[in-house]
Amino acid sequence: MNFSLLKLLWIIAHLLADVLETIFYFGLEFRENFFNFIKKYTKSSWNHDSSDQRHQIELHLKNIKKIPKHLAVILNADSEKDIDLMQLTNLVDWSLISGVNFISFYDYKGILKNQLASSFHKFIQQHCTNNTDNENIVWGLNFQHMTDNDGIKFPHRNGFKRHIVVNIYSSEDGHEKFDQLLRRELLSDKGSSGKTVDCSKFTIDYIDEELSKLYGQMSDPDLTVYFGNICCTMGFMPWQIRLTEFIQISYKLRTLSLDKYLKVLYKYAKCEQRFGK
Amino acid sequence: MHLKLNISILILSLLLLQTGTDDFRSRVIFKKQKVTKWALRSYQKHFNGKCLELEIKEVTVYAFSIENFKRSPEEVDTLMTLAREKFAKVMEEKDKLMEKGVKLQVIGNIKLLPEDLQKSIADAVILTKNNEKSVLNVAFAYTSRDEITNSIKTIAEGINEQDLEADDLNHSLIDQCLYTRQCRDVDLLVRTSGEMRFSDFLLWQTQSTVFYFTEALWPEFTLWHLLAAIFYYQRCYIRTKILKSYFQEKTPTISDNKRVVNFLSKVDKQRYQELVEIQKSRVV
Repeated sequence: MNFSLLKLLWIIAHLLADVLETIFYFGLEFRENFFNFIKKYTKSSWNHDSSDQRHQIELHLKNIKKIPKHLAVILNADSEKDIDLMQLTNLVDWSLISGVNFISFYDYKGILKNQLASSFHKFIQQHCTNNTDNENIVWGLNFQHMTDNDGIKFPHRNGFKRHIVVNIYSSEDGHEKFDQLLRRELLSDKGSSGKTVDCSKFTIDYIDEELSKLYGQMSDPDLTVYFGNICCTMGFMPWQIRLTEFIQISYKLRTLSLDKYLKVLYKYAKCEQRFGK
Repeated sequence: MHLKLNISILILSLLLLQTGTDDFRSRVIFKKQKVTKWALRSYQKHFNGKCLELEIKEVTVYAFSIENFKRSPEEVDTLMTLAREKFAKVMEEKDKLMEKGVKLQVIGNIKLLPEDLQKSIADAVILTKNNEKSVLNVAFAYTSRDEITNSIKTIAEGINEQDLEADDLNHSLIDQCLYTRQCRDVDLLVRTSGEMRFSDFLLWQTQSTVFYFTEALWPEFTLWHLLAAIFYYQRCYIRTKILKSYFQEKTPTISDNKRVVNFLSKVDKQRYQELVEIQKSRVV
């Protein structure tokens, strides 16, 4: 076949995909508006019933064999309006019930971390206190300036109370974290012990340990969920994501629902890790 | 919009992730060696040449992870023998390789490999180092964490030898000291066999890379799968471009820092020298 003909076919395929994508977007918008419209008029029956949700999650948990210890959420956000704090709070709430120990939110521009952190903090406190005990939420390092604690404060283990560590990250906590590591490792040593740095101390375990000091108490993310059709780390924790599973949760943050969340948990439970073997 | 359709501009480097050969074992039981051979043949059949035609300038394959040393000794041996055969064949067909202008690079901690394999790797890399038409990177005895650690070690040595100073330390220096220092940015990463994780492959380099999953197992992977991946990449192109320019702004530029440039060229020389030494050690 002629090469230019192939190119033409390729272009047609793209055009087709454009058309389909547009229809899909319209459908999505339409569905959302439609549900909002119904919600407005039948407010009472559509309100989130938290005890109902809890019950639903607990029912499903019996069938899910593996729950991620650390769930990371990569937000595909360019501006404040892309971030719906209510949905993020839902995620925290659901994860707490499911038994996730750490939840991290990441957006590469740091909108959540730099502009919305305090309102997010308030939001979670307001909404999660209704359903769960507020003591269960532990604020991660990037919230510290708001909670005036030094270091992460874990609740005392009284009874069988679950807790979840909530944290927010931006691209400053990715590659740029290594700036700190380099300075700390290479410069402080030099000042104290004379002239040279001991190069043999740099092993994978050593760096892993030093980094975990910078990130605070945290296990590596087991599961990362992303929104939209593009799967990309966007610079999220380059060291820690080596074994993380990437699963799309929903097309948009606004259309996230409990069903979608549970579906992701099921999908994650099926993943098998071999560790090189 | 028209940019999206122009293949040649978009695909600079394409990266393939091979889970290893045991993906295939889970579905069909074959002799291990046979499967590995099959995987290699499928690479030859579908990629050599095809990528050039599609104007993909650089392909990286994950052939062997450091973690793979944990497999049973027989299996590791078999894989090493295959690699030996492969590199021996490269040397046999060197005229063809030079004619096509393929530059072969091996990224990874090759010191962990058997000595004779190290030598044949050094031979092939040194032979093709000046080729420019296309690049094939083979990740052998590679993990990303090992690579980052090695990069930090290199910087530490630079500090010890006073090639670098406190102001020069930043993450883009780590970037420049990785094994992939001479490689282009990765645009697309393909993961076969329905897995959805990186498995310690190019973690540092993939901040604006599109991650494409396919259910196909590696030996089943054909040109059509590749085209689908490229199509997906092109759909995501605008988004990745935004990300790329954002990260570029955030990365400190080091090209105008003379001290760093000198240090990096020294690193290059050192690494080349190491390869030459490995190559020479055969005579002894």
